[in-house]
Amino acid sequence: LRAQINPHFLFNALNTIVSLCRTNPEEARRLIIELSDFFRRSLKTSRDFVTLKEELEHVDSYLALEQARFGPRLSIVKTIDEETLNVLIPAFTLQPLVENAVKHGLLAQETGGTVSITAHRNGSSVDIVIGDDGAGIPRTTLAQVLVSGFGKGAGVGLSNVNERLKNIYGPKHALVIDSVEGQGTTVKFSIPAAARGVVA
Amino acid sequence: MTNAIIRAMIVDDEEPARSEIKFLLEQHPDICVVCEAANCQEALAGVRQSRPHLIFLDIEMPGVNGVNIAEKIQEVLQPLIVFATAHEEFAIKAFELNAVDYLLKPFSPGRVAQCIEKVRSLLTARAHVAVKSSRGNPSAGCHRQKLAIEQNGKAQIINTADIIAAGSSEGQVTVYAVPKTYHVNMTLQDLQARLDENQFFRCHRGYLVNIEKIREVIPWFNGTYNLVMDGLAGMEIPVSRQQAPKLRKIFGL
Repeated sequence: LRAQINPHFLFNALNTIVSLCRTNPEEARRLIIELSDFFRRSLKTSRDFVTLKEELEHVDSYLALEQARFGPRLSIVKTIDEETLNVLIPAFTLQPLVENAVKHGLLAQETGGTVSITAHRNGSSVDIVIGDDGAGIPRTTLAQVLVSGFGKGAGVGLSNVNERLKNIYGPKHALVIDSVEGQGTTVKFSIPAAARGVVA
Repeated sequence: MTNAIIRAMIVDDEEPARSEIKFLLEQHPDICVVCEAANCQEALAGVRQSRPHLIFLDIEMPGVNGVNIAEKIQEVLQPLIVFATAHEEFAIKAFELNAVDYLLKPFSPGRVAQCIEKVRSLLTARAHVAVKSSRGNPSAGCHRQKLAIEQNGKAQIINTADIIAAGSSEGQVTVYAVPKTYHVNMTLQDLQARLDENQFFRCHRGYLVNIEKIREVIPWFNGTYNLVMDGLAGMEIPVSRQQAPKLRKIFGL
């Protein structure tokens, strides 16, 4: 699998950097590095699995660019157990979920909000939760977001992440989505902590 | 109109994006950024307050998108609209809204300059239309039965026969017509030049009347008169001493 890069994300990121080249060149340099890292990882096709640490770095690059665009409208809280960092997870699992939370949850409202990323060890599995206090998903849409082909974005959708998790680990590892309109959304899933070398 | 200042407004929810377009616009000495807005409410308030000639509008905004904001703005004012966005797929809708241009982010200075050039020529053309409607040259074959009155950026076409009278005060001309009264940005002289001289009589330095609508002629002091007009209750229009002989001639008094 190769991550598809959302062209809007790319051009908006570049537009932000163009602006910062004048007003804050140091920040512009930092963001070009983040954008490069983001691309390098997105273009890598060699590995199906990455460590949680690597996947979180990919998420960090993405969030660094979005925070530069949206400033104080976007805040991030991460609670990651140290011992989960070396667990292998399917590549491009977290970033699409975080992107969904940011785009459809937080930025749908003028005030923005907070996205939270949590990973903790729970017996033989690792529980991962992506939460936001944004717009929430309307009841009628909620039933559809996991249906393949939902959404018009060019990126990896929720349904794609869900299908891969189920194919790799079985139906118990599907995404669990809780959402209340006007209050926010959480997306949870768990992966086996010892799932090294599982072939996709 | 060549060096007239163009009042521009920027609507984008991203601060760096606003800063960039502002920077690029300010490279053009005739562009003045009068207002910036980060959402729909700010945009509408800004349009009302700053009355920009030109708006750079982002498409993807929280709540309402830029295309809807453009529609709301156009209910208030008809500024030139340029969409500035990373989203190519909205181009068709943008042109349905008569957008002047569609800039893709990030924008080059050259592309922005090209956009500004287009804006300048459109604004100059608009100004010509406005001047034409106000300075109508009687020999240029203007339609004498119709008059264009500019209101809220649109030309309101009225039948000249519906005009009862017009008066100027403090640099503004008020046209009393059936069924409504208009305030226009032209001199009484310009208005008179635009109207049929057999139907409209300049009875006073500050007034012009439709001869067909004169109902009563009341002799006043020092050889002057006052006129009572059809459809203009509670108001008498003065006739100056200089114009009185012409009035007497019109009615054979």
